[in-house]
Amino acid sequence: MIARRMRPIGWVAGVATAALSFYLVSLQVAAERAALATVERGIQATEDEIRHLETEFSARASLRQLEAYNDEVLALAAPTVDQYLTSEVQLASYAPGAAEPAPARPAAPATALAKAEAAAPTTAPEPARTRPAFKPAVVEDAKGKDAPVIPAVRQPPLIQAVAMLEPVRPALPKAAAPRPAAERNTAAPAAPKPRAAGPKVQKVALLDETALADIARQAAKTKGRKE
Amino acid sequence: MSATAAARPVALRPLPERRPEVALGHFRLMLLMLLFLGATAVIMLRIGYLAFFADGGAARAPVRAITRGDITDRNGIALAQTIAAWSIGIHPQQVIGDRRVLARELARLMPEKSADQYLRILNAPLSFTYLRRRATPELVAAVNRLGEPAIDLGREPERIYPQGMLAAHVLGFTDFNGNGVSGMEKVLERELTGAGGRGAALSIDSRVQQALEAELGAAMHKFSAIGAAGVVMDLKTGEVIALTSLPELNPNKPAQQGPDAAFNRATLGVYELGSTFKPFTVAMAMDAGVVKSLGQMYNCPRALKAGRFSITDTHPFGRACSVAEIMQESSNIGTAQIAAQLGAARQRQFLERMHFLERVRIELPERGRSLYPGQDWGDIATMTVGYGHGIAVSPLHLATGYATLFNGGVWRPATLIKRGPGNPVPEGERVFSAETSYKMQALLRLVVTHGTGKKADAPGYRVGGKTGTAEKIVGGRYTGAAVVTTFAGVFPMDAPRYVIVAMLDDPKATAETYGFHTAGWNVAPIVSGVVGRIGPMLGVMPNPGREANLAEVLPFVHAKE
Repeated sequence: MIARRMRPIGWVAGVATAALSFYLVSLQVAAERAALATVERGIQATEDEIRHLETEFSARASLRQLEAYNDEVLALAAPTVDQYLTSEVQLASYAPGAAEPAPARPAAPATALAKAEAAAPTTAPEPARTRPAFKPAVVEDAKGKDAPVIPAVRQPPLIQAVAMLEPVRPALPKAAAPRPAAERNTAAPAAPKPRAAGPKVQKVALLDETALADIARQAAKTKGRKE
Repeated sequence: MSATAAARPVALRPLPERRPEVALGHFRLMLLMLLFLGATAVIMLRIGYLAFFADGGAARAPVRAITRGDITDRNGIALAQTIAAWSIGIHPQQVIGDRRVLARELARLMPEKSADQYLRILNAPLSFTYLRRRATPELVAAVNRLGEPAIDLGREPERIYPQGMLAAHVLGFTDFNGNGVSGMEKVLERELTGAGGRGAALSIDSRVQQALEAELGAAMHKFSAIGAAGVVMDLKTGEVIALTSLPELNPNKPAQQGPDAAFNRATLGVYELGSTFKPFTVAMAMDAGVVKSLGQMYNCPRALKAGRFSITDTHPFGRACSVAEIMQESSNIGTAQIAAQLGAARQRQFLERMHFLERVRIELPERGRSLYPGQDWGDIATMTVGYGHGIAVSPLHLATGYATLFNGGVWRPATLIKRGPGNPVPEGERVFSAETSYKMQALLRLVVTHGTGKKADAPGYRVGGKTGTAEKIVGGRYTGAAVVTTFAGVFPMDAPRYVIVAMLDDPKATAETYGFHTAGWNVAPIVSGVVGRIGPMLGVMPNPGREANLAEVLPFVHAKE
């Protein structure tokens, strides 16, 4: 009697259990799917962010910007014809880049830096305060404390040092040298050579950028002709 | 399920059957209960459905925000990219807070409109309006901090030109909805937005482009020119490696540019390009058999009467001169005589075959129509066209013409899309014979080594080319005051590979140029500077040991005293 009375309840319990277990399975699947979607969205967001950062990076490292840095600070000039060596004999007799390991590749334009430096100090070495107008573009970014600064540029000591150009030889190549070098030279990145500190440090931005670039190029050229 | 489970026991309970009204009451109660149970069951079913079938996988799938492909240069450096940017909009009718306060806050954050204007927007009967598109993340964060739910912050694709103004006239720009409006953005609309939006590679080399722009810009500044244009082109394939027009355009802010910046001087502008035309005349004459040798002599008086005009030279010979000398000293008189010998019909035919009398062939939509004598192409017109006056073409025409002249004589259209499987090098149309093309090499190298273009020489790169100074027509007549100076060159001249054309619009004389404003003084140094920079990038190594075959021309040149 009781068993007969209980039978429907048993049915109900059985069906409920089965339904519940089905539901649990499907819940699990749904949860997995949701997790997958979350990961996918995360990937998407990261990709977007990477893209964003890449865009920002390429905008900040745009060729125009690199050229401006070069005009202001590095004054690299394109290598002249006598810096291209075509034979071992030439290499052996090449004095300025004696320490430079120029391999079998004939055109290693790695001496561009040395060349430009040797040429540039002819510009009058004036004290830095005679040119109050010179403000390196990079520092300005970091100046506005309240304005949000993009972390990539937030290294004021490093870059300021470059801009002021006191003897900060290690910082210089690290901060800016490799990029313009890559821009200028298709081949080997110009290894920054040990340079003599001195007047060349002050050549920076005594003149406006165009004149400086002109002078550097001119000097490199005339020097190349003389040799 | 549970509804039936709950309903059963109710149905099972034996009803006391006493009075009909009580039974009716019970019946009504039961009905009510069934309604409740039914409602619960419906809700449960709905929840179950949502749980099982609409788990949101599809609804919340990441939306691909990138709708427009990238434009890259030939080396894969991105020139135009689309990123997801922020936009700030508002639903004015759903504003909850105090509109005045909100308007004041908005005016503080976005000061391009006053608080009154914002208040007007907030009171407007609009369902939605943008307050700012392309907002910076900082601004978006600040606006979000206002806490007004009616403000709608959305992501939308934004076109960014990371290289800034580099190659701006080539790239063009898009409108706010991301549709190409000008330049390659417009041309490549289908490729960029089509299935997948793969992106496209241009033939531009951004390093070369930068070198060209920098050198041109510096010269333009130095000589206070009102504009400049430059083209570097691969003469074998017709690929444009760099093309620029100054003053430049900022594609990131296209709306803020003046019409002068939007004007593409390299393709849309047409100019009388002066003496840079002379090599064409000589080549035509050689091809037609009029000039049989570069030593052929012409009488070069101090002035040549042509109808009511008098043609003069800047360096008059006042004696007989050879074709080589005519080119070397850029003699109008000599060239006019060669052109007259050639005749109008043949000259016109050659110019047509070089496609000089139609819009320049390139993908860009901004292309100018050439100006030429048309119906009255008489003897005088023939002579003036011979030295580049009375005909106006774009600098890109000139570059294409020089490419034709020095690639062995085959005309091919210029292209801004990288040559490859999708854009093969066309067969081309023969204009000049290979022999003419070869002889012209020595002739134009002579101009740079011994003639008017000495300053264009980049040591070791064997630049050859021709200077051109054309007076501008101001108020309907030629004046010496305003000129267009051009240099069209080719390097390396012993095995030509690249054409470079540089043009300055109205350069002024400076002390440095000793009061001259001719091409040899202002444009030629640009070419020297550019070639020195781009040569190694393009794989042209300087080599002082190589030279064009000047033995073709040197015997015909008088040694200077």
